[in-house]
Amino acid sequence: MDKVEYMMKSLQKAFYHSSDLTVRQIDWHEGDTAILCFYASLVDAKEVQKILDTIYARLDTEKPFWSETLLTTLDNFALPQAIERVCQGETLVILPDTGKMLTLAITYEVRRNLEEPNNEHILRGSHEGLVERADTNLTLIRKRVNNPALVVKSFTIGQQTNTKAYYLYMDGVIQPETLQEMEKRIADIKIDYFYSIGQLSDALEDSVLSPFPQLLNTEHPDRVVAHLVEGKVVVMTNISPSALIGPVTFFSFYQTPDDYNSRVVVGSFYKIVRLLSFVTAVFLPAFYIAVISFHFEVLPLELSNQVKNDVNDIPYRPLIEALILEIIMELIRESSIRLPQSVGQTIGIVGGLVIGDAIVSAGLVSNLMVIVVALTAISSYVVPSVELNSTIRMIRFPFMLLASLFGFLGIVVGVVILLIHLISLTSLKQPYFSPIVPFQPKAVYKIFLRWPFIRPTVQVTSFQPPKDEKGKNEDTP
Amino acid sequence: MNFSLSKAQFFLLLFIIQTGVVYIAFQTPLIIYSQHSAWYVFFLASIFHYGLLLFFERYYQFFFLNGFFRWVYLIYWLLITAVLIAYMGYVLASWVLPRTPEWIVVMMIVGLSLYANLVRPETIINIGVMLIPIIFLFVIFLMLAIPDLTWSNLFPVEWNNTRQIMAGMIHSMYAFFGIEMYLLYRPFLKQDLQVKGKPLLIYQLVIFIFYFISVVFTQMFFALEEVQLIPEPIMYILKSQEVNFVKRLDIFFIYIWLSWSIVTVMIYGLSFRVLYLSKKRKHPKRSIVFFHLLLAILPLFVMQFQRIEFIKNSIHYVLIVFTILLPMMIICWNKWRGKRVS
Repeated sequence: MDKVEYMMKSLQKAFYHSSDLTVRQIDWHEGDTAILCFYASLVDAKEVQKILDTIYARLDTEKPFWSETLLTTLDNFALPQAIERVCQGETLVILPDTGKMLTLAITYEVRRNLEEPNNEHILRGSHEGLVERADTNLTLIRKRVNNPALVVKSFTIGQQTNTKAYYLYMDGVIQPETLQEMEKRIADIKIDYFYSIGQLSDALEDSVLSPFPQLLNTEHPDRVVAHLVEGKVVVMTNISPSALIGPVTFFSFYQTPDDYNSRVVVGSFYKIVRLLSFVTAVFLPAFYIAVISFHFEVLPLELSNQVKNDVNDIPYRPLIEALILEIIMELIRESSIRLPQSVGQTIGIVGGLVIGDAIVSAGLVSNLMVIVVALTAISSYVVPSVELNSTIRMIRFPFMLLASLFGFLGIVVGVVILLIHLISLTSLKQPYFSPIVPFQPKAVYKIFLRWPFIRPTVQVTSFQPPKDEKGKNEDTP
Repeated sequence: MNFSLSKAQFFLLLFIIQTGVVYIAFQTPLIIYSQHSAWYVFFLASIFHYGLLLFFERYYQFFFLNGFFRWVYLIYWLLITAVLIAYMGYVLASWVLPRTPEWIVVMMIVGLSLYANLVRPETIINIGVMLIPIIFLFVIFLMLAIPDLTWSNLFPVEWNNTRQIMAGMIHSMYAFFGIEMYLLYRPFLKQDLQVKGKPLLIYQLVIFIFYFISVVFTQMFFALEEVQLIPEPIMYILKSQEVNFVKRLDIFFIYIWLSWSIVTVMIYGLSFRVLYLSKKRKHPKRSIVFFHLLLAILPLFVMQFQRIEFIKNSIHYVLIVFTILLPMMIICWNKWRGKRVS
């Protein structure tokens, strides 16, 4: 067996005789033989041929730097390197006689158009969305930040999948401890097969078992930029349109680009409405259950008569009533997500109107409960973040249970547990419930109001108060 | 224990400790013993309170607790917290939860305190912030009673009745509840922060106005004979307010008071933690759990009407010893020995 044949067999073995692998012997310059190796599924063959024609022409004219183009590199051949490059979609021309390999970085790019993210609709502002290619995403970000201080660092996740990922930050804006923490966590990632952004988020979050997301997940490049200039780190991968942003606070999840694209007063109003929706989304069913089951006396007389008439004919306890409706709501939601969009809308109408009406007529739940659950559902969908939205929909169930067991006492206990959890939670070791905890009076208004934008806020880094109490963490360093 | 406090955190911590459980009830014994002069006596008591704060601020470095006194305060806080929990359970049983077994309420309160004390200390230090808006709400709704107040109830003031004034002063001790914590937490304040002068005066004014409103409102809302029959006058004032959207406003405020009091219990737990762990211990978490286990058991022995009444009628003497006399004695002793808190 000659050298070329032996190398070809070795390559095929290294790639497990994969059907889409092309290993072919070709004629090279002056009677030499070369081996062409690439994945047919990852390479644009026509482009490769064009580059090879250029290289052949250069070799014929005996130019000294025949291998140097923007898309090609010439290195010594090494099997591990060769495997890595082929896996990345590059084409190798191996020259057995010289022990060199020519790499052609021409990949067949499967990419979709820049569309508005389906789960983050906005009214005004940029409608571009990130895609499943990191270089496109970096372009979208770089075109918004024309500044070398925007640093992009790459790393690979998945010891077997070798997926490319990047983390971005603004040098000079980011706090050193934030960057160190992120770099430490990235270095500690031990995943064999990386295929989902959720794996990365699990590896980077402070408390995986907390129901609250500690990294903001967005597909909006303008949102990414807004967080970068506030001193946060953004992590993106080559396989997902989602960017993970950290450290964030609980209140970051209630902001949308619309707040800052609209008028100051209008933006502030909707910010407040959105925050109030948290209260109704989490506590309204529990409050209703507590009132009906334990504290009927809080209702004014006129209302209590109506409620009594409405509730009297229902055979179930308020908790069961609420659970029936809440679970139906969740089923409708799940089915409308999984079905095609046109059918999904129909399911929403059928579920919301027909089932709602039928279930009241059947005497399984009261009219009031339908109103309460509908209001709760509407409030929970106000949250701009999908992750927090799911969390809110989930945490109202324990509150409902506590309210049905202990009335308002149960709700108080639940609220205190929730507060202790939120106050002790961290995002990249930085307080999650800032600026309420640690309390920064001068920054609290920013939670509720969209102030005329002058300078962005920087995430507070510690539970300890700032050295100078005169309202730090408001200015970009 | 490694944490530091800002001025706002320090004073908020003190405010919650001092007002937590006693705010709805301390007016009754004060008015019973000092009659129409209650507001004036409370004013005098507040001046004394300010003097005490100034004294503590000046000599807090000398509040060094040796092994014996450390245990004295640990046991005192354990017992006082147990009494507070028992009183909370008692109030809940009489106002809103007559059928709920007492031990369930106790377990809930203790469970919350345990959870808060097992996470980082900053959680308890900061959780009081969440109470600020609801305390404001409490005061705002109290203001709804203004049209029902009778100003003449404040008079006549018996300026020369020394016995009445002294009895009132002693019963004003409830408003000084937990002030010894000033000495415990003061060393944790960031070193470059100044407390004496304006910040201390502002704190004194805030707590004075907060308590004074409750005393004056109670005096003006109820006749003296009525006050004797009303154990939690602030709750009765709120109960009598009529608003369109709810019939029983007091129920909401009982739960506001409950959450406020739960935070006070948490802070007592933190104080235990701070003092007990000031010496290196092998199993800090185990000792916190043990402290809370005792907290879950002890209140059950006290939660009876007669025992609660007995404690309410005598606890101010205990407070005089542990919040004023003992700290002063320890400070003087250590000053004489030259022993300071490191």
